[in-house]
Amino acid sequence: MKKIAQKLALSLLACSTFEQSGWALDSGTQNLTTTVGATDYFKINCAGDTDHLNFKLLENATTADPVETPDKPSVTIGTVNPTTGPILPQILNAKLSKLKLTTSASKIAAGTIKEISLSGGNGSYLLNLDTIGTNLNLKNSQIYSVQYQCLNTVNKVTTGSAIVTGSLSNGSTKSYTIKCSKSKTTGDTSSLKIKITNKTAITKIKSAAQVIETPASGNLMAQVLKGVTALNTIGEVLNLQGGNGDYSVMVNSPVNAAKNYRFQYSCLNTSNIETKTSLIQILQDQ
Amino acid sequence: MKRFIFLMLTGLSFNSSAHDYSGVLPAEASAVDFLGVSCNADGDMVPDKMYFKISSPDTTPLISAQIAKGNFVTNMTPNRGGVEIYQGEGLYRVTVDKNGTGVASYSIEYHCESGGDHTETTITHY
Repeated sequence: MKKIAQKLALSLLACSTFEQSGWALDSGTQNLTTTVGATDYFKINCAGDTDHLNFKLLENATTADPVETPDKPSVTIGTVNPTTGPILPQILNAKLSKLKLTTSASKIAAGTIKEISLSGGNGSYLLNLDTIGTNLNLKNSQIYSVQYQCLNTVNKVTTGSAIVTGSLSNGSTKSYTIKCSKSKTTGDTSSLKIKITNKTAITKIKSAAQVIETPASGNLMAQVLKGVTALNTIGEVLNLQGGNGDYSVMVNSPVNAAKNYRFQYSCLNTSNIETKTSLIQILQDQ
Repeated sequence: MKRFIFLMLTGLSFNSSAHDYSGVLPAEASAVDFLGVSCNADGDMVPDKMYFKISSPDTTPLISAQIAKGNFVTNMTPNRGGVEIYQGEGLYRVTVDKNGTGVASYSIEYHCESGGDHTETTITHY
């Protein structure tokens, strides 16, 4: 029992030194012995608004030196790269409203621009900015500019036209009131047009290690269980829809072959955005 | 620790008190049959183990089964005799799967025991 406890402590220590690769966590290298019946057993806890656990088994995977990897904002938000998990940039959301009229622009990623327009006539418009859905692993405040113009029916500027800049930290919101009125020369305002530029620098992330895969041989298998649902894999990505709670992972060999392996895992919500994923807990190391 | 994870390969053959279950896994590699074998006390006979054996006529893909209870799990391949899993009373979670694509069939034999006596044994296919 003491030996197992020591292995557990060492494994947890080793895991704690791993950073996320993409946004998937990595088990680190594990070893399965040739003992008949040998099975490694792990527990992963998902919290927040988890919909499913994304899991990939990597047989005989080795690692290269740590590398600087640019985070790619061009990747569609919410997609899952089978190897690295979802790639999420920092984002802003904007909502423009006037009385019961509303329009919005969501997921304005770092380095991108979006425009919105609301036809509300003369009067006060309210612009709200927030960071809901941004990558919370990136802690720096986002820099933005808002350029707005009050326009008449033929898109001539009436009153109120300016550029403001600001910054927004994760979890914060900002509001601007923009007043459009009648111009002596161009007449009544028909609409307010706003251009939001997310000027935040695209962050580079450092992955702990670049995983080099070898094709699955079928000599190593993993099962992921939650409640009364189970899935099996020999290397392909699987998604087990089990919500929040503890997921069990079993790794074994149908031919009792010794294997080095690792696995990547990530708790995701229905939009494939990372929720809260625990480090692995080793229940049995064989 | 040994007391809890002791496994013994046995040559036990089918007997009239054993329970049997047969299944066929569909073609996809991710297919799993997930079963729960519940070992319950019969009067004052409290089960101390579950006997388990898996057989399959198919070798490609290769079937295997995992039996888990608490923080213990073991892996079984077909046609290698049975095992006695000393994990006491309660629910044993059994997964049956395979190492690739293709339909594969299997049958399992299982029963709960207290010493040498069989106790109440029920199975659920989730």
